Amino acid sequence: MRGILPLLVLLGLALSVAAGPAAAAEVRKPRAGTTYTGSPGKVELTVGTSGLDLVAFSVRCGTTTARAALNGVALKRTRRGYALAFRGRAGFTYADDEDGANGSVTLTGRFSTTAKSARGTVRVRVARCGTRTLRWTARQVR
Amino acid sequence: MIPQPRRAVLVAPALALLLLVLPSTAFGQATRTWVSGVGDDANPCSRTAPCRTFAGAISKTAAGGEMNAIDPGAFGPVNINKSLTIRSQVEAGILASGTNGIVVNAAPTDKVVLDGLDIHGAGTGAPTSLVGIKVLQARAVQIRRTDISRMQAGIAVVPNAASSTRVTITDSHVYNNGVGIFNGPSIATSPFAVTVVRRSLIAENTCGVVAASTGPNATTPNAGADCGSAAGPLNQVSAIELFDSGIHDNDTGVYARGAASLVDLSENYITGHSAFGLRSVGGGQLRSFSSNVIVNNGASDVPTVLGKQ
Repeated sequence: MRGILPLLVLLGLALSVAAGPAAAAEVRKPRAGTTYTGSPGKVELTVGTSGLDLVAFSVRCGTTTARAALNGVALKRTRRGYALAFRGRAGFTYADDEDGANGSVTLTGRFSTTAKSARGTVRVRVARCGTRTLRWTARQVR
Repeated sequence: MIPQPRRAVLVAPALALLLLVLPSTAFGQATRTWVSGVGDDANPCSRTAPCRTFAGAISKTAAGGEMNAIDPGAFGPVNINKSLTIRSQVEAGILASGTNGIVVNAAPTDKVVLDGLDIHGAGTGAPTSLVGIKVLQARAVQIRRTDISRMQAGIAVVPNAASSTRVTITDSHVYNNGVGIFNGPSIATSPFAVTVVRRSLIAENTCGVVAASTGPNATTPNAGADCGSAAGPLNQVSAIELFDSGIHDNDTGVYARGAASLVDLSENYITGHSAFGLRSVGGGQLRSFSSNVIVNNGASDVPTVLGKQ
């Protein structure tokens, strides 16, 4: 019995090491150059070589919409797919051509493990309006 | 026995003093701020703790201050509402998608410098992003060493206030847009807008350089048969001085619309336009101060030739 226990421990370790990369390999990285579009607000994600080159989206702002484009959003590998997060400020353009303004954005999201789609939340506060936390989804288009 | 003052009585003035001091130190704006590809907008935008976006850094930059990029990266669109310099010696990009790149909407006395930027509209096909640099109001805007591409309009000087605006563009490359450079007041009370272009390349746009005293068409200046200009009835002074630049391979090179629009040309190459090298509509004035090379265009209106002074 005393001899079997260390063997079992070793076997467990070996199995976990062998299974580790296999499990991780199931998470596919979004390929550089691909674009994802979705809703609401014409969400657009463009993948670059070291993260997302662009995350653009619109939100309803009173009678018009406000659109922002975030640049260089980092991607982080997780077990459930590549995750993105941005908390900072962005320049907004209003659809009614009224003067734009800078506002704050809190964006989170995650790509599916196959990297075919992404979903997340966004919250915006800009001079003319603010939003509650909105859900967005996007699918790969090219 | 002398009664001791209560501790709260002693602490309260100290707390009040601290509160008075805090706003000026903790929330003060710096004269020089920094952005970095690995920065964070929660940072103070200092050299050692840079911000991530221009929009984040501008709120921490004092009027008349300067924002710099530490390393190459894209730092997002920004709206400028005060005297400010954005300067970069490395590639400082702004990637837009359905938005403007930079909007200058400052006080009539403010001066803005944009130096070393790369403003690009995302996607392929017809540009869907709006204006690379849109100037609504400022005393003067200097644009240097800046690349702008894939926007509906590269640079649009469209003052919307009762004050004059002067924009100078040097050593820049404006290519593959709807309209390259557009100059035209957008309201009747705006006295004049002047844009000076020097040592720059304006290529492969639908329209290269446009002076429109009739102002821009609806939404942004968006290229079409009218090169982004409106039909009227506006007729405010719109002047472009175009020196030592290459305007080539646009559909139309230089376009002047409206009796109060004026384009002065000197030492430019205006070549390879499929429609017009020079085009005057509605009394737009084109004046050549010699040494312009205007060849290999589908057609071209003839400028008024004036001698070198």
